[in-house]
Amino acid sequence: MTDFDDNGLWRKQVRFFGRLRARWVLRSAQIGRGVCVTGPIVLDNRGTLQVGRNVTFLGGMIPTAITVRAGASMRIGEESLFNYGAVIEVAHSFTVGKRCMFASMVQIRSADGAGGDIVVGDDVWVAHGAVLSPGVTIGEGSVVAAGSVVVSDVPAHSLALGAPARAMPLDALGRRAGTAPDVRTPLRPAQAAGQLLGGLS
Amino acid sequence: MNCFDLVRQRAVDACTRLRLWRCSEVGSGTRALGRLWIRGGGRIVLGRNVLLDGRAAPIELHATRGAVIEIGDDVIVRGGCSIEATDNVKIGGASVLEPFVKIIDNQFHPLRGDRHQRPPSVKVCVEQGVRIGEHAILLPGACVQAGARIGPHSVISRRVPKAAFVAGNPPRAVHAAAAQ
Repeated sequence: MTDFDDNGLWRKQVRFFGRLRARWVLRSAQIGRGVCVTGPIVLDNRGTLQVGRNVTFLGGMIPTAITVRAGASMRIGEESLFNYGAVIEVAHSFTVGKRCMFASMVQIRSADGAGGDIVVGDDVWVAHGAVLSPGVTIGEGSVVAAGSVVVSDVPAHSLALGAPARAMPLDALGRRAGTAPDVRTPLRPAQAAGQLLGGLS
Repeated sequence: MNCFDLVRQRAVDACTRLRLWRCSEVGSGTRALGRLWIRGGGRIVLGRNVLLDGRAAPIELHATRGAVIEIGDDVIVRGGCSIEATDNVKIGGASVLEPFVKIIDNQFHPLRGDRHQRPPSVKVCVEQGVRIGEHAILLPGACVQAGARIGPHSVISRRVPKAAFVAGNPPRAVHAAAAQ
């Protein structure tokens, strides 16, 4: 059995064919150099869709669905990454900053009118299964934890967690980022949300 | 079981084993339906009478090199479930994973600092007779003990005691221990 995850040559081939695929799949969009699509995308673009340099759409078991309605605009910044199964529906405007990461099965729906716009700043990480409601702004460097439902604005450099999501500064988190959670302590009702770190690619 | 049934059972087992050629071990009576995404160079061990029901949506089993996914006997995995292991994910016997459950044992990115550095993995353990509701997410360090129930759309990253019913995001214990 082969593991393609750490095989440089295979990865280069995937990126090469991904760029060709992006030319075809995103032919109704304005795409920058090096845009790579490595899986199925269901794209319905009736407005404007701008995809920046080196944006990657990863493939997976479920296709990514992007719908841009007539007159709506969607802009994706450089080097952002979308994993599989994302559902993005743009009715008015949706803006993504640079170097953002959107995990699998993320749901983003913007409503009609200027009040329903969604803005995501630079270096934002939206984890698996998170939902962004219409009219939400996410500040740069923030993290939306796995499975959260964001209904209000998230300030910069904070962690939004839970359904509905509450934001806390990333600097205020007690333990070092990415370390093992405390497995021995049993789960209590109304536990401190900071102890429950969510997120994944 | 008569002779005909036995032959049929063996034939089904052989076909399933061929379909699951990427798995290291497959027990007898295991059935694989619909679409399956089995990837990575790790070990995937399926017990007996496992049902992988990928008819409604595909099932993803991804064990990176050196990782182990162990699925016990009589487990039901519904469509859209995704199990990603970089170290060890263990699912005990007679558990049920409802549609679109996600189980991972690595966060893949740190919250702060260089986003491209992978944090250390923490094992995920689901014990026997657990029921995990649809769209629930088990994060690294989740340890669901025997007979517990996880509500739909919950996000779990720590220990859930025996026979408890836990739901929500952030999760709360609805019952400390369900009726015994």
